[in-house]
Amino acid sequence: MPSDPHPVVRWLRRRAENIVQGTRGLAIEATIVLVLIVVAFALSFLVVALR
Amino acid sequence: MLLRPSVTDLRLIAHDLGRILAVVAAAGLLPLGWAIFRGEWSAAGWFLLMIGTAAVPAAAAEFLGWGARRQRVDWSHGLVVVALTWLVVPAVGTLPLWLSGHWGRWLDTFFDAMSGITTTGLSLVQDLDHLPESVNIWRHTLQFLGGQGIVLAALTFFSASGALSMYQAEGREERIFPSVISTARFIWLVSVIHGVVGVTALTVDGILVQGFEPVRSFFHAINVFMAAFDTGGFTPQSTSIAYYHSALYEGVLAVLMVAGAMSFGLHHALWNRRRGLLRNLEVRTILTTFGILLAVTIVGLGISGVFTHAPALTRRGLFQVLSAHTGTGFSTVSTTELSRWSGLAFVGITVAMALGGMSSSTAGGVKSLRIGLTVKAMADSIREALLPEGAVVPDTFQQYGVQRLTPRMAQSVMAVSLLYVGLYLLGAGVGYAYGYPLDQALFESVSASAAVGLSVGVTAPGMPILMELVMILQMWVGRLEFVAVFALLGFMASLAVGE
Repeated sequence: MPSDPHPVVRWLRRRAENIVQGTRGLAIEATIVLVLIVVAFALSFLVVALR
Repeated sequence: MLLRPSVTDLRLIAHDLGRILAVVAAAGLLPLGWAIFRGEWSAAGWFLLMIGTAAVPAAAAEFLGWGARRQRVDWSHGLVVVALTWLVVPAVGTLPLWLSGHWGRWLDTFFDAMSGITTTGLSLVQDLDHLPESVNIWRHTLQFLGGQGIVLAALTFFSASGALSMYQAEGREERIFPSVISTARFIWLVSVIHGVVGVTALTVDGILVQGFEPVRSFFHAINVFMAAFDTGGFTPQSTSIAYYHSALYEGVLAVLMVAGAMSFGLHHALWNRRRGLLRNLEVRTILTTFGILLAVTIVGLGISGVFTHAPALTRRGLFQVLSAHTGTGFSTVSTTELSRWSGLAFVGITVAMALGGMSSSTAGGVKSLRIGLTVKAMADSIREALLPEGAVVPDTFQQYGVQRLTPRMAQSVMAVSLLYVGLYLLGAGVGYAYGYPLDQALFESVSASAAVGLSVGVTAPGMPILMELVMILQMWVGRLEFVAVFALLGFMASLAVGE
Protein backbone atom coordinates (compact mmCIF):
# COMPACT_ATOMS: atom_id res chain seq x y z
CA MET A 1 0.00 0.00 0.00
CA PRO A 2 1.53 3.38 -0.99
CA SER A 3 2.39 5.66 1.94
CA ASP A 4 0.77 9.10 2.30
CA PRO A 5 2.77 11.87 0.62
CA HIS A 6 4.73 14.26 2.83
CA PRO A 7 2.62 17.25 4.06
CA VAL A 8 4.84 19.64 2.10
CA VAL A 9 4.21 17.63 -1.08
CA ARG A 10 0.46 17.67 -0.37
CA TRP A 11 0.56 21.41 0.20
CA LEU A 12 2.48 21.96 -3.05
CA ARG A 13 0.04 19.76 -4.97
CA ARG A 14 -2.91 21.71 -3.62
CA ARG A 15 -1.30 25.04 -4.56
CA ALA A 16 -0.48 23.73 -8.06
CA GLU A 17 -4.10 22.66 -8.44
CA ASN A 18 -5.23 26.14 -7.29
CA ILE A 19 -2.97 27.78 -9.87
CA VAL A 20 -4.46 25.64 -12.66
CA GLN A 21 -8.00 26.46 -11.44
CA GLY A 22 -7.17 30.17 -11.13
CA THR A 23 -5.68 30.24 -14.62
CA ARG A 24 -8.85 28.64 -15.96
CA GLY A 25 -10.94 31.33 -14.23
CA LEU A 26 -8.73 34.10 -15.61
CA ALA A 27 -8.92 32.62 -19.11
CA ILE A 28 -12.73 32.68 -18.95
CA GLU A 29 -12.73 36.30 -17.70
CA ALA A 30 -10.33 37.31 -20.50
CA THR A 31 -12.61 35.56 -23.02
CA ILE A 32 -15.61 37.53 -21.73
CA VAL A 33 -13.67 40.78 -22.26
CA LEU A 34 -12.60 39.71 -25.76
CA VAL A 35 -16.21 38.93 -26.70
CA LEU A 36 -17.26 42.33 -25.36
CA ILE A 37 -14.57 44.06 -27.44
CA VAL A 38 -15.75 42.28 -30.59
CA VAL A 39 -19.43 43.13 -29.89
CA ALA A 40 -18.60 46.76 -29.02
CA PHE A 41 -16.47 47.16 -32.15
CA ALA A 42 -19.17 45.70 -34.40
CA LEU A 43 -21.73 48.07 -32.87
CA SER A 44 -19.42 51.09 -33.12
CA PHE A 45 -18.58 50.31 -36.73
CA LEU A 46 -22.27 50.05 -37.57
CA VAL A 47 -23.19 53.27 -35.75
CA VAL A 48 -20.35 55.27 -37.35
CA ALA A 49 -21.16 53.86 -40.80
CA LEU A 50 -24.87 54.68 -40.51
CA ARG A 51 -24.43 58.18 -39.08
CA MET B 1 -40.67 46.79 23.85
CA LEU B 2 -36.99 47.28 23.12
CA LEU B 3 -34.49 45.40 25.25
CA ARG B 4 -31.59 47.53 26.46
CA PRO B 5 -28.25 45.90 25.50
CA SER B 6 -26.25 44.60 28.44
CA VAL B 7 -22.68 45.57 29.35
CA THR B 8 -21.60 42.22 27.91
CA ASP B 9 -23.15 43.19 24.56
CA LEU B 10 -21.14 46.41 24.51
CA ARG B 11 -17.95 44.58 25.52
CA LEU B 12 -18.46 42.08 22.70
CA ILE B 13 -18.91 44.83 20.13
CA ALA B 14 -15.89 46.74 21.46
CA HIS B 15 -13.87 43.53 21.35
CA ASP B 16 -14.67 42.85 17.69
CA LEU B 17 -14.09 46.47 16.70
CA GLY B 18 -10.73 46.28 18.45
CA ARG B 19 -9.75 43.30 16.34
CA ILE B 20 -10.71 45.20 13.21
CA LEU B 21 -8.55 48.13 14.32
CA ALA B 22 -5.70 45.63 14.77
CA VAL B 23 -6.14 44.72 11.09
CA VAL B 24 -5.98 48.44 10.20
CA ALA B 25 -2.77 48.78 12.21
CA ALA B 26 -1.30 45.77 10.40
CA ALA B 27 -2.39 47.16 7.01
CA GLY B 28 -0.63 50.44 7.85
CA LEU B 29 2.68 48.53 7.74
CA LEU B 30 2.42 48.40 3.90
CA PRO B 31 2.52 52.18 3.31
CA LEU B 32 4.96 52.53 6.20
CA GLY B 33 7.32 50.05 4.53
CA TRP B 34 6.96 51.86 1.21
CA ALA B 35 7.63 55.24 2.87
CA ILE B 36 10.85 53.88 4.39
CA PHE B 37 11.85 52.22 1.09
CA ARG B 38 11.34 55.48 -0.85
CA GLY B 39 12.80 57.75 1.85
CA GLU B 40 9.50 59.56 2.57
CA TRP B 41 10.42 60.12 6.20
CA SER B 42 7.63 62.56 7.10
CA ALA B 43 5.06 60.16 5.70
CA ALA B 44 6.69 57.31 7.67
CA GLY B 45 6.02 59.34 10.83
CA TRP B 46 2.36 59.85 9.86
CA PHE B 47 1.89 56.12 9.37
CA LEU B 48 3.59 55.30 12.68
CA LEU B 49 1.16 57.69 14.35
CA MET B 50 -1.79 56.05 12.62
CA ILE B 51 -0.64 52.54 13.51
CA GLY B 52 -0.32 53.63 17.15
CA THR B 53 -3.74 55.27 17.06
CA ALA B 54 -5.26 52.02 15.81
CA ALA B 55 -3.19 49.65 17.94
CA VAL B 56 -3.79 51.26 21.37
CA PRO B 57 -7.62 51.02 21.30
CA ALA B 58 -7.25 47.59 19.69
CA ALA B 59 -5.23 46.39 22.68
CA ALA B 60 -7.65 48.05 25.09
CA ALA B 61 -10.63 46.42 23.38
CA GLU B 62 -8.92 43.03 23.53
CA PHE B 63 -8.50 43.49 27.27
CA LEU B 64 -12.09 44.76 27.60
CA GLY B 65 -13.49 41.80 25.73
CA TRP B 66 -11.56 39.24 27.76
CA GLY B 67 -14.19 36.82 29.06
CA ALA B 68 -17.01 38.45 27.13
CA ARG B 69 -15.85 36.88 23.88
CA ARG B 70 -16.91 33.45 25.13
CA GLN B 71 -20.50 34.66 24.99
CA ARG B 72 -22.59 33.88 21.95
CA VAL B 73 -22.47 36.62 19.31
CA ASP B 74 -25.81 36.89 17.58
CA TRP B 75 -26.95 38.26 14.25
CA SER B 76 -27.56 41.82 15.51
CA HIS B 77 -24.06 42.06 17.05
CA GLY B 78 -22.55 41.16 13.69
CA LEU B 79 -24.59 43.79 11.89
CA VAL B 80 -23.76 46.49 14.42
CA VAL B 81 -20.05 45.67 14.22
CA VAL B 82 -20.12 45.85 10.42
CA ALA B 83 -21.93 49.21 10.42
CA LEU B 84 -19.51 50.64 12.99
CA THR B 85 -16.49 49.22 11.15
CA TRP B 86 -17.32 51.31 8.07
CA LEU B 87 -17.34 54.42 10.31
CA VAL B 88 -14.41 53.72 12.60
CA VAL B 89 -11.91 52.55 9.97
CA PRO B 90 -12.23 55.64 7.74
CA ALA B 91 -12.05 57.85 10.84
CA VAL B 92 -8.69 56.30 11.84
CA GLY B 93 -7.57 56.08 8.20
CA THR B 94 -7.85 59.85 7.71
CA LEU B 95 -4.80 60.54 9.86
CA PRO B 96 -2.02 60.24 7.21
CA LEU B 97 -4.27 61.89 4.62
CA TRP B 98 -4.89 64.88 6.85
CA LEU B 99 -1.22 65.22 7.86
CA SER B 100 -0.13 65.17 4.19
CA GLY B 101 -1.79 68.57 3.67
CA HIS B 102 -3.36 67.57 0.35
CA TRP B 103 -6.95 67.92 1.53
CA GLY B 104 -8.66 71.25 2.25
CA ARG B 105 -10.51 70.31 5.46
CA TRP B 106 -10.71 67.27 7.73
CA LEU B 107 -14.14 66.34 6.38
CA ASP B 108 -12.57 66.03 2.90
CA THR B 109 -10.13 63.41 4.25
CA PHE B 110 -13.03 61.54 5.87
CA PHE B 111 -14.87 61.72 2.54
CA ASP B 112 -11.89 60.17 0.76
CA ALA B 113 -11.33 57.51 3.43
CA MET B 114 -15.04 56.61 3.31
CA SER B 115 -14.83 56.59 -0.48
CA GLY B 116 -11.85 54.22 -0.17
CA ILE B 117 -13.30 51.81 2.36
CA THR B 118 -16.63 51.64 0.52
CA THR B 119 -14.73 51.05 -2.78
CA THR B 120 -16.38 54.11 -4.32
CA GLY B 121 -13.47 56.08 -5.77
CA LEU B 122 -14.75 59.67 -5.62
CA SER B 123 -12.06 61.98 -4.28
CA LEU B 124 -11.56 65.49 -2.92
CA VAL B 125 -7.75 65.33 -2.93
CA GLN B 126 -5.86 68.36 -4.19
CA ASP B 127 -2.77 68.04 -6.39
CA LEU B 128 -2.98 64.24 -6.47
CA ASP B 129 -0.06 64.03 -8.89
CA HIS B 130 2.34 65.24 -6.18
CA LEU B 131 0.95 63.20 -3.28
CA PRO B 132 3.64 61.14 -1.49
CA GLU B 133 3.68 57.61 -2.93
CA SER B 134 3.11 55.99 0.47
CA VAL B 135 -0.05 58.08 1.06
CA ASN B 136 -1.25 57.03 -2.38
CA ILE B 137 -0.64 53.39 -1.43
CA TRP B 138 -2.67 53.94 1.75
CA ARG B 139 -5.64 55.29 -0.27
CA HIS B 140 -5.57 52.16 -2.41
CA THR B 141 -5.02 49.88 0.57
CA LEU B 142 -8.21 51.29 2.10
CA GLN B 143 -10.03 50.20 -1.04
CA PHE B 144 -8.48 46.76 -0.87
CA LEU B 145 -9.44 46.42 2.80
CA GLY B 146 -12.96 47.61 2.08
CA GLY B 147 -13.35 45.34 -0.89
CA GLN B 148 -12.03 42.19 0.67
CA GLY B 149 -13.93 43.06 3.78
CA ILE B 150 -12.13 44.08 6.92
CA VAL B 151 -14.51 41.84 8.75
CA LEU B 152 -13.50 38.96 6.53
CA ALA B 153 -9.85 39.62 7.32
CA ALA B 154 -10.67 39.56 11.01
CA LEU B 155 -12.47 36.26 10.52
CA THR B 156 -9.57 34.77 8.61
CA PHE B 157 -6.96 35.75 11.13
CA PHE B 158 -8.73 35.50 14.43
CA SER B 159 -11.57 33.01 13.89
CA ALA B 160 -13.62 34.97 16.38
CA SER B 161 -16.75 33.62 17.92
CA GLY B 162 -19.88 34.72 16.10
CA ALA B 163 -17.96 34.49 12.84
CA LEU B 164 -20.98 33.38 10.87
CA SER B 165 -23.20 36.31 11.80
CA MET B 166 -20.50 38.85 10.94
CA TYR B 167 -19.87 37.09 7.69
CA GLN B 168 -23.51 37.17 6.66
CA ALA B 169 -23.92 40.77 7.73
CA GLU B 170 -21.35 41.78 5.17
CA GLY B 171 -23.54 40.68 2.32
CA ARG B 172 -21.53 37.56 1.48
CA GLU B 173 -24.32 35.14 2.18
CA GLU B 174 -23.26 32.40 -0.21
CA ARG B 175 -21.43 29.73 1.67
CA ILE B 176 -19.18 28.08 -0.88
CA PHE B 177 -17.52 25.81 1.64
CA PRO B 178 -18.98 24.26 4.77
CA SER B 179 -17.13 26.66 7.08
CA VAL B 180 -16.85 30.43 7.02
CA ILE B 181 -13.11 30.29 7.48
CA SER B 182 -12.56 28.06 4.46
CA THR B 183 -14.79 30.37 2.41
CA ALA B 184 -12.73 33.33 3.53
CA ARG B 185 -9.55 31.49 2.56
CA PHE B 186 -10.99 30.79 -0.89
CA ILE B 187 -11.76 34.50 -1.32
CA TRP B 188 -8.17 35.35 -0.42
CA LEU B 189 -6.86 32.64 -2.78
CA VAL B 190 -8.83 34.09 -5.70
CA SER B 191 -7.51 37.56 -4.84
CA VAL B 192 -3.90 36.40 -4.55
CA ILE B 193 -3.96 34.62 -7.92
CA HIS B 194 -5.55 37.63 -9.64
CA GLY B 195 -3.07 39.85 -7.80
CA VAL B 196 0.03 37.97 -8.92
CA VAL B 197 -1.13 37.79 -12.56
CA GLY B 198 -2.57 41.32 -12.63
CA VAL B 199 0.35 43.11 -10.96
CA THR B 200 2.87 41.22 -13.14
CA ALA B 201 1.00 42.08 -16.37
CA LEU B 202 0.58 45.74 -15.41
CA THR B 203 4.21 46.08 -14.28
CA VAL B 204 5.54 44.57 -17.52
CA ASP B 205 3.24 46.82 -19.57
CA GLY B 206 4.42 49.84 -17.56
CA ILE B 207 8.06 49.04 -18.24
CA LEU B 208 7.73 48.04 -21.90
CA VAL B 209 4.97 50.35 -23.15
CA GLN B 210 5.14 53.40 -20.90
CA GLY B 211 8.88 53.25 -20.30
CA PHE B 212 8.51 53.43 -16.51
CA GLU B 213 11.40 52.42 -14.25
CA PRO B 214 10.65 49.01 -12.66
CA VAL B 215 9.94 50.39 -9.16
CA ARG B 216 7.66 53.14 -10.53
CA SER B 217 5.90 50.63 -12.73
CA PHE B 218 5.35 48.28 -9.78
CA PHE B 219 4.02 51.18 -7.70
CA HIS B 220 1.40 51.98 -10.32
CA ALA B 221 0.59 48.31 -10.91
CA ILE B 222 -0.03 47.45 -7.26
CA ASN B 223 -2.20 50.53 -6.70
CA VAL B 224 -4.25 50.12 -9.84
CA PHE B 225 -4.66 46.38 -9.22
CA MET B 226 -6.07 46.99 -5.73
CA ALA B 227 -8.50 49.55 -7.14
CA ALA B 228 -9.53 47.38 -10.11
CA PHE B 229 -10.00 44.00 -8.46
CA ASP B 230 -11.89 45.54 -5.56
CA THR B 231 -13.90 47.73 -7.96
CA GLY B 232 -12.61 50.80 -6.12
CA GLY B 233 -11.64 53.33 -8.74
CA PHE B 234 -8.88 55.35 -7.06
CA THR B 235 -5.83 55.90 -9.28
CA PRO B 236 -2.39 57.30 -8.47
CA GLN B 237 -2.78 60.08 -11.07
CA SER B 238 -5.48 62.74 -11.48
CA THR B 239 -6.21 61.73 -15.07
CA SER B 240 -7.26 58.23 -13.96
CA ILE B 241 -6.50 55.47 -16.48
CA ALA B 242 -6.16 57.95 -19.37
CA TYR B 243 -2.70 58.67 -17.87
CA TYR B 244 -1.34 55.38 -19.22
CA HIS B 245 -2.40 55.79 -22.88
CA SER B 246 -2.23 52.03 -23.31
CA ALA B 247 -4.89 49.76 -24.78
CA LEU B 248 -3.13 46.74 -23.25
CA TYR B 249 -3.21 48.33 -19.77
CA GLU B 250 -6.92 49.02 -20.23
CA GLY B 251 -7.46 45.42 -21.39
CA VAL B 252 -5.79 43.97 -18.29
CA LEU B 253 -7.86 46.30 -16.09
CA ALA B 254 -11.04 45.28 -17.93
CA VAL B 255 -10.37 41.62 -17.02
CA LEU B 256 -9.71 42.59 -13.38
CA MET B 257 -12.86 44.72 -13.22
CA VAL B 258 -14.96 41.84 -14.59
CA ALA B 259 -13.35 39.49 -12.03
CA GLY B 260 -14.04 41.99 -9.23
CA ALA B 261 -17.72 42.34 -10.09
CA MET B 262 -18.23 38.56 -10.28
CA SER B 263 -19.63 36.83 -7.22
CA PHE B 264 -17.24 34.53 -5.40
CA GLY B 265 -19.81 31.80 -5.88
CA LEU B 266 -19.34 32.18 -9.63
CA HIS B 267 -15.54 32.20 -9.24
CA HIS B 268 -15.83 28.93 -7.34
CA ALA B 269 -18.11 27.45 -10.00
CA LEU B 270 -15.72 28.49 -12.79
CA TRP B 271 -12.71 27.12 -10.93
CA ASN B 272 -14.48 23.79 -10.55
CA ARG B 273 -15.81 23.57 -14.11
CA ARG B 274 -19.41 23.65 -12.96
CA ARG B 275 -21.75 23.43 -15.94
CA GLY B 276 -24.99 25.26 -16.70
CA LEU B 277 -23.86 28.61 -15.29
CA LEU B 278 -25.55 30.48 -18.13
CA ARG B 279 -28.90 29.26 -16.75
CA ASN B 280 -28.30 31.17 -13.49
CA LEU B 281 -30.69 34.09 -13.12
CA GLU B 282 -27.93 36.44 -11.95
CA VAL B 283 -25.56 35.59 -14.83
CA ARG B 284 -28.37 36.00 -17.38
CA THR B 285 -29.45 39.30 -15.85
CA ILE B 286 -25.98 40.87 -15.84
CA LEU B 287 -25.24 39.70 -19.39
CA THR B 288 -28.57 41.12 -20.58
CA THR B 289 -28.26 44.48 -18.81
CA PHE B 290 -24.62 44.82 -19.86
CA GLY B 291 -25.45 44.10 -23.51
CA ILE B 292 -28.37 46.55 -23.56
CA LEU B 293 -26.48 49.35 -21.78
CA LEU B 294 -23.38 48.89 -23.96
CA ALA B 295 -25.56 49.21 -27.07
CA VAL B 296 -27.40 52.24 -25.66
CA THR B 297 -24.15 54.02 -24.76
CA ILE B 298 -22.40 53.30 -28.04
CA VAL B 299 -25.42 54.33 -30.12
CA GLY B 300 -25.74 57.48 -27.98
CA LEU B 301 -22.07 58.37 -28.45
CA GLY B 302 -22.29 57.62 -32.17
CA ILE B 303 -25.39 59.79 -32.67
CA SER B 304 -23.95 62.70 -30.68
CA GLY B 305 -20.79 62.63 -32.77
CA VAL B 306 -18.41 62.68 -29.78
CA PHE B 307 -16.34 60.02 -31.54
CA THR B 308 -16.18 59.77 -35.32
CA HIS B 309 -14.00 56.67 -35.60
CA ALA B 310 -15.13 53.17 -34.62
CA PRO B 311 -11.92 52.16 -32.74
CA ALA B 312 -12.01 55.26 -30.50
CA LEU B 313 -15.75 54.82 -29.94
CA THR B 314 -15.26 51.14 -29.01
CA ARG B 315 -12.34 51.79 -26.68
CA ARG B 316 -13.84 54.73 -24.78
CA GLY B 317 -17.44 53.51 -24.80
CA LEU B 318 -16.73 49.95 -23.68
CA PHE B 319 -14.29 50.95 -20.94
CA GLN B 320 -16.66 53.51 -19.43
CA VAL B 321 -19.66 51.13 -19.49
CA LEU B 322 -17.55 48.34 -18.00
CA SER B 323 -16.25 50.68 -15.31
CA ALA B 324 -19.78 51.89 -14.51
CA HIS B 325 -21.52 48.48 -14.50
CA THR B 326 -18.81 46.81 -12.40
CA GLY B 327 -18.89 49.76 -9.98
CA THR B 328 -15.20 50.49 -10.43
CA GLY B 329 -15.12 54.13 -11.46
CA PHE B 330 -11.97 54.15 -13.60
CA SER B 331 -12.14 56.54 -16.50
CA THR B 332 -10.30 56.96 -19.79
CA VAL B 333 -11.94 60.30 -20.58
CA SER B 334 -11.62 63.52 -18.61
CA THR B 335 -14.30 64.69 -16.19
CA THR B 336 -15.13 67.59 -18.53
CA GLU B 337 -15.45 65.25 -21.51
CA LEU B 338 -17.64 62.83 -19.52
CA SER B 339 -19.92 65.71 -18.48
CA ARG B 340 -20.53 66.36 -22.19
CA TRP B 341 -21.82 62.82 -22.79
CA SER B 342 -25.50 63.51 -23.18
CA GLY B 343 -28.69 61.77 -24.27
CA LEU B 344 -28.51 58.00 -24.61
CA ALA B 345 -24.84 57.81 -23.58
CA PHE B 346 -25.60 59.60 -20.31
CA VAL B 347 -28.58 57.30 -19.66
CA GLY B 348 -26.50 54.20 -20.45
CA ILE B 349 -23.71 55.08 -18.03
CA THR B 350 -26.02 56.27 -15.24
CA VAL B 351 -28.25 53.18 -15.38
CA ALA B 352 -25.17 50.91 -15.54
CA MET B 353 -23.88 52.54 -12.33
CA ALA B 354 -27.28 52.23 -10.63
CA LEU B 355 -27.64 48.51 -11.42
CA GLY B 356 -24.14 47.50 -10.26
CA GLY B 357 -22.44 44.10 -10.32
CA MET B 358 -23.20 40.69 -8.83
CA SER B 359 -24.04 39.87 -5.23
CA SER B 360 -21.18 38.52 -3.07
CA SER B 361 -18.74 40.68 -5.01
CA THR B 362 -17.06 43.98 -4.23
CA ALA B 363 -19.38 45.87 -6.61
CA GLY B 364 -22.13 48.11 -5.26
CA GLY B 365 -25.50 49.20 -6.62
CA VAL B 366 -28.81 47.37 -6.60
CA LYS B 367 -27.03 44.19 -7.84
CA SER B 368 -28.00 41.89 -10.68
CA LEU B 369 -29.66 39.20 -8.56
CA ARG B 370 -32.09 41.74 -7.10
CA ILE B 371 -32.80 43.15 -10.57
CA GLY B 372 -33.43 39.65 -11.94
CA LEU B 373 -35.69 38.69 -9.02
CA THR B 374 -37.61 41.98 -9.20
CA VAL B 375 -38.24 41.48 -12.91
CA LYS B 376 -39.27 37.87 -12.32
CA ALA B 377 -41.65 38.82 -9.49
CA MET B 378 -43.24 41.51 -11.64
CA ALA B 379 -43.50 39.22 -14.68
CA ASP B 380 -45.07 36.48 -12.52
CA SER B 381 -47.66 38.94 -11.18
CA ILE B 382 -48.58 40.05 -14.69
CA ARG B 383 -48.77 36.44 -15.88
CA GLU B 384 -51.02 35.52 -12.95
CA ALA B 385 -53.35 38.39 -13.82
CA LEU B 386 -53.53 37.39 -17.47
CA LEU B 387 -53.88 33.61 -17.08
CA PRO B 388 -57.21 31.95 -16.29
CA GLU B 389 -58.13 31.65 -12.64
CA GLY B 390 -56.50 28.66 -11.00
CA ALA B 391 -53.59 28.52 -13.46
CA VAL B 392 -50.27 27.93 -11.70
CA VAL B 393 -47.31 30.23 -12.45
CA PRO B 394 -44.03 28.54 -11.49
CA ASP B 395 -42.24 30.55 -8.81
CA THR B 396 -38.85 28.90 -9.27
CA PHE B 397 -35.61 30.21 -10.73
CA GLN B 398 -32.10 28.90 -11.37
CA GLN B 399 -29.27 30.10 -9.13
CA TYR B 400 -26.75 27.28 -8.59
CA GLY B 401 -29.71 24.89 -8.61
CA VAL B 402 -33.47 25.40 -8.51
CA GLN B 403 -34.58 28.03 -5.97
CA ARG B 404 -38.06 29.19 -5.02
CA LEU B 405 -39.00 32.86 -5.11
CA THR B 406 -41.16 33.15 -2.00
CA PRO B 407 -43.42 36.19 -1.51
CA ARG B 408 -41.27 37.20 1.48
CA MET B 409 -38.10 37.06 -0.63
CA ALA B 410 -39.74 39.07 -3.42
CA GLN B 411 -40.92 41.65 -0.91
CA SER B 412 -37.47 41.99 0.64
CA VAL B 413 -35.73 42.25 -2.76
CA MET B 414 -38.15 44.93 -3.94
CA ALA B 415 -37.86 46.87 -0.68
CA VAL B 416 -34.05 47.07 -0.95
CA SER B 417 -34.28 47.99 -4.66
CA LEU B 418 -36.70 50.79 -3.79
CA LEU B 419 -34.45 51.99 -0.98
CA TYR B 420 -31.60 52.30 -3.51
CA VAL B 421 -33.84 54.37 -5.80
CA GLY B 422 -34.67 56.57 -2.81
CA LEU B 423 -30.99 56.97 -1.97
CA TYR B 424 -30.19 57.95 -5.58
CA LEU B 425 -32.98 60.55 -5.55
CA LEU B 426 -31.94 61.94 -2.16
CA GLY B 427 -28.47 62.94 -3.40
CA ALA B 428 -29.85 64.21 -6.70
CA GLY B 429 -32.34 66.40 -4.83
CA VAL B 430 -29.67 67.88 -2.58
CA GLY B 431 -27.35 68.54 -5.54
CA TYR B 432 -30.18 70.16 -7.49
CA ALA B 433 -31.08 72.31 -4.49
CA TYR B 434 -27.49 73.59 -4.46
CA GLY B 435 -27.86 74.70 -8.09
CA TYR B 436 -26.20 71.83 -9.98
CA PRO B 437 -27.96 70.72 -13.19
CA LEU B 438 -30.33 67.84 -12.37
CA ASP B 439 -28.61 65.36 -14.69
CA GLN B 440 -25.19 66.04 -13.15
CA ALA B 441 -26.58 65.91 -9.60
CA LEU B 442 -28.24 62.57 -10.37
CA PHE B 443 -25.10 61.15 -12.00
CA GLU B 444 -22.94 62.03 -8.98
CA SER B 445 -25.57 60.80 -6.52
CA VAL B 446 -25.84 57.41 -8.23
CA SER B 447 -22.06 57.21 -8.45
CA ALA B 448 -21.71 57.73 -4.68
CA SER B 449 -24.60 55.50 -3.60
CA ALA B 450 -23.65 52.60 -5.88
CA ALA B 451 -19.95 52.78 -4.89
CA VAL B 452 -18.81 53.58 -8.43
CA GLY B 453 -16.69 56.75 -8.43
CA LEU B 454 -17.19 58.16 -11.92
CA SER B 455 -17.61 61.93 -11.75
CA VAL B 456 -18.85 64.72 -13.98
CA GLY B 457 -17.16 67.33 -11.80
CA VAL B 458 -19.71 67.86 -9.01
CA THR B 459 -17.43 66.18 -6.47
CA ALA B 460 -14.69 68.78 -6.11
CA PRO B 461 -12.76 70.48 -3.30
CA GLY B 462 -14.86 73.26 -1.80
CA MET B 463 -18.20 71.57 -2.51
CA PRO B 464 -20.99 72.50 -0.06
CA ILE B 465 -20.51 70.80 3.32
CA LEU B 466 -24.09 69.50 3.52
CA MET B 467 -23.76 67.91 0.10
CA GLU B 468 -20.46 66.35 1.14
CA LEU B 469 -22.11 64.92 4.29
CA VAL B 470 -25.00 63.53 2.25
CA MET B 471 -22.57 61.85 -0.16
CA ILE B 472 -20.66 60.32 2.78
CA LEU B 473 -23.98 58.98 4.07
CA GLN B 474 -24.86 57.63 0.62
CA MET B 475 -21.51 55.82 0.33
CA TRP B 476 -21.86 54.29 3.81
CA VAL B 477 -25.51 53.26 3.52
CA GLY B 478 -25.18 52.08 -0.10
CA ARG B 479 -22.13 49.92 0.65
CA LEU B 480 -23.80 48.24 3.63
CA GLU B 481 -26.99 47.62 1.64
CA PHE B 482 -29.15 49.29 4.32
CA VAL B 483 -29.66 46.36 6.66
CA ALA B 484 -26.54 46.86 8.80
CA VAL B 485 -27.30 50.58 9.11
CA PHE B 486 -30.86 49.83 10.23
CA ALA B 487 -29.51 47.35 12.77
CA LEU B 488 -27.15 50.02 14.14
CA LEU B 489 -30.00 52.54 14.39
CA GLY B 490 -32.11 49.94 16.19
CA PHE B 491 -29.24 49.17 18.55
CA MET B 492 -28.79 52.87 19.35
CA ALA B 493 -32.52 53.24 19.93
CA SER B 494 -32.50 50.29 22.31
CA LEU B 495 -29.55 51.84 24.16
CA ALA B 496 -31.45 55.09 24.53
CA VAL B 497 -34.98 53.93 25.31
CA GLY B 498 -34.72 50.18 25.94
CA GLU B 499 -35.75 48.62 29.21
